[in-house]
Amino acid sequence: MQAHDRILQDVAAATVATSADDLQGLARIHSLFEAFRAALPTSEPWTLAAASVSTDAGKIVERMILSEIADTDAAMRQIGDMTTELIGILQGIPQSTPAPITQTPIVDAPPEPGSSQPAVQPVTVKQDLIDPNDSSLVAEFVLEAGEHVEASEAALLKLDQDYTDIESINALFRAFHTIKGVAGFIRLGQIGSLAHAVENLMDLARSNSLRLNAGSIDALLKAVDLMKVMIAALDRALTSGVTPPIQPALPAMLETLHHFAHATTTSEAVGIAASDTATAEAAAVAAAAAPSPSQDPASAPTGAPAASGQSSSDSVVKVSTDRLDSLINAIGELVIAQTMVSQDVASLVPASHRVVRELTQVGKIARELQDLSMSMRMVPIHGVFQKMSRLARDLARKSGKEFELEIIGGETELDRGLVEAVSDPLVHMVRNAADHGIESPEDREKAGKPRCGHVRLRAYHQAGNVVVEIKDDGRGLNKAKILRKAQERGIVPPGKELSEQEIFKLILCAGLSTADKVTDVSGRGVGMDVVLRNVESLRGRIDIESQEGLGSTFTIRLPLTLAVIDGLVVRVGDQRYVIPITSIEQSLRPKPGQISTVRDRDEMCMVRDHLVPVVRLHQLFGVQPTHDEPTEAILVIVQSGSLRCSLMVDELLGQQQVVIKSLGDGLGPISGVSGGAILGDGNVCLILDAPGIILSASGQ
Amino acid sequence: MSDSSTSTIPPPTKATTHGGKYLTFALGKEEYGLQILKVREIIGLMDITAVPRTLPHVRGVINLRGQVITVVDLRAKFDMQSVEKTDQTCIIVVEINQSGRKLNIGIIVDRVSEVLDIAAEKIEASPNLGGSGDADFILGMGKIGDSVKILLDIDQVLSTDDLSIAA
Repeated sequence: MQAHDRILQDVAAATVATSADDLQGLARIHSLFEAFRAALPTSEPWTLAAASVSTDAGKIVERMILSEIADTDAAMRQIGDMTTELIGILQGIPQSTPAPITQTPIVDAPPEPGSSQPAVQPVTVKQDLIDPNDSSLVAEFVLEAGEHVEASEAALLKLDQDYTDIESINALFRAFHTIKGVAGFIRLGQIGSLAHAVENLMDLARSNSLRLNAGSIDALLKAVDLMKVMIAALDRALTSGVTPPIQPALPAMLETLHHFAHATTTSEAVGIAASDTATAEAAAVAAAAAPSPSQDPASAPTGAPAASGQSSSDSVVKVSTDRLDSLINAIGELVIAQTMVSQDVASLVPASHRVVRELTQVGKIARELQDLSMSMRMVPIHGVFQKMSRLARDLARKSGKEFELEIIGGETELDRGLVEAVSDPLVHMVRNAADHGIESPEDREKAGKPRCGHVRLRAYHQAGNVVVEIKDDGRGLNKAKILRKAQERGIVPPGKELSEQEIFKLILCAGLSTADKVTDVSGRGVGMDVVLRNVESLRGRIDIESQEGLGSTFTIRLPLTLAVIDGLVVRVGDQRYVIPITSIEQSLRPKPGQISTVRDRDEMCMVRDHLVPVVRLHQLFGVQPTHDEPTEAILVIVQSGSLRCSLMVDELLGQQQVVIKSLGDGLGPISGVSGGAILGDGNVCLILDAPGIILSASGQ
Repeated sequence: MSDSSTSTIPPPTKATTHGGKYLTFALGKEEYGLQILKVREIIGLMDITAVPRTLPHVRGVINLRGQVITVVDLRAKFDMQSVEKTDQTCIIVVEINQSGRKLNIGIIVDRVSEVLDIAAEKIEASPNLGGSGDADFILGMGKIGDSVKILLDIDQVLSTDDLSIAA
């Protein structure tokens, strides 16, 4: 064991053993951190990181000794966390050393011997090499480049509408220029060469030496895709410590881009020219102006962030999501602690008015903080929408249909976790709208509609929900055929009357969606059950409106945030549980006549002419109940889809908003429980998984 | 005797890797040790919310400053007689490594003793426990004066399949 390892152990021991007001102990920790820094080997790649963390930790201890920190417990914890971080840094050593790149000189390292250098490429591609000393730079680059690539994609899609949009051309140029610059700086050969090729092309475009057309935009979009792949590979390489693989597609891509760039000087039309005049014009311009470096006044300084159309505010701080989450956690705790103090003060007999007033003030601030922290989790949906417009473009190309995607409300904000989760359902729905909703141009003309179909994607807030709407002007859903199909499949008993909404909902059923016949008629078959499941797992719902021949509208409603739910707190014996309000239908105390049993065991309750199975929560969870008779207890009727059951509880304690927590990684999924919530008194309370309980109840 | 002792003497390399600082705690008369780098913090016993359908030694979950963590009763885990909680009973929050993931878990112990520096040469490999199961979860036995500290490999003690729900 090396000296610094030993000292670190001492530090860890000291931090656990020292209380925040023990000055001598703090002094010892302080000197230990200094000793640790002194004992660090000078040449290791992680030395810098370890030194800076230990310096920071030392500073905190110093400030604690000087009583400059009010919340010493938090500071103590922070020091503990930093110690853990240091341990992590030291333990990270063995992973980075076996990689040969640590020792080999980086400059001009040849590509791996196994890889053959393609002869056709115009630029010699060097491999992406990660110098361990640069790993933090590379990590930053991955983040930054990701943003640039996203911005470029947006710019390209805009260019696709208007090939001469100079702002988008400039944005593209700047984005790739920055990527090239940084990639060159940290010796990422592959990424650099691709960025260089795109930059070249854009340089020609902005100096008017090159007219962009559908062909070149396609190629550029593919280049952006390749760039994404390479950045992802780089990100993986960063964590695994191996050199990123050579991209086999790169030489061909470089060749294509090169080709487009050269087409201008030789005035050869490449790909699909936008129009004859455009080509001629391009040729004329190309002949006049040699592809010289641009004198475009709009050319921005290197590293300027690529504006992607939306107003980008200049003062933005990047914060890691972990820190954000712990901030949100801490504020949640603060609110709970504040509530506890207020309750305690209120129960004191001679309650001081002054204290009560001050506490109310604190409470206000705490809630404001909580609102603020929640808003920090919110991000605009436009990232997902942008993906959709890319998807729509590709779909239109592939299917030969003509349609445009209109996007409204891209700035609508929703929870960070939801953005990711909503993306998949949206892909399904946009694809369905394009595949099945929109008719072919000929059919559209016959129906008296414009040749070009219209799909509108719209997001907005409504009553604490985020609503995402997909509306097409296609052929709509055929009610009669859906119903017939459902009856054939046995999903709907024959002769049963269904409302319009109910019929539309049928297309979300698993049995129907896989049936290829229905897709002939109405479309919307593929994976709609998956969409429904995804949306329901986010506690959202889907509404469908459709008029045959005129189009359909799918509306997805999602809660604003995943972090908080409205729940009903119930008591069973000495345990409390939270039932999500969204799954509750009603609650009642049954009269003796309402309860009937089967085999003397399985109980049913007659509620409004429907038999609902009774689930005794105390039996399910092995708790001693206060009431053993359903007629003395309370039944909470919960529903999921068309299934219902009633949960027998002792008492309803009231409705409140609770913050959802996972039950810790240590426990696997527990049937009947979907998570934990922290109640106002700081205790953990289990959230019931109503659909799970219903399914297991109806499965028997 | 020589026969049995030769079979239990470990390759010395294994034992020497475990020297270092240990947080020691008591379960009844037995003294145990945890590698100090595994210990996150020590908290007093608090209300624990029971979680249904878990193994008996999983006491439930607590709220550790906004994070929900699982709490395991170490006595129950070791099939020891359960005792009345005292004001010395506490929860040690340990960070364990579970197939690459780190997670915090609380363990209930009778009493926390002290932090000890145990040199590698004072650590003996885990003894043969007389056929009553394997001793995988023991790093070694630390000899401090006359007493013996059982040094736990807490990752092994709290391996995930032990926390998951009984089928």
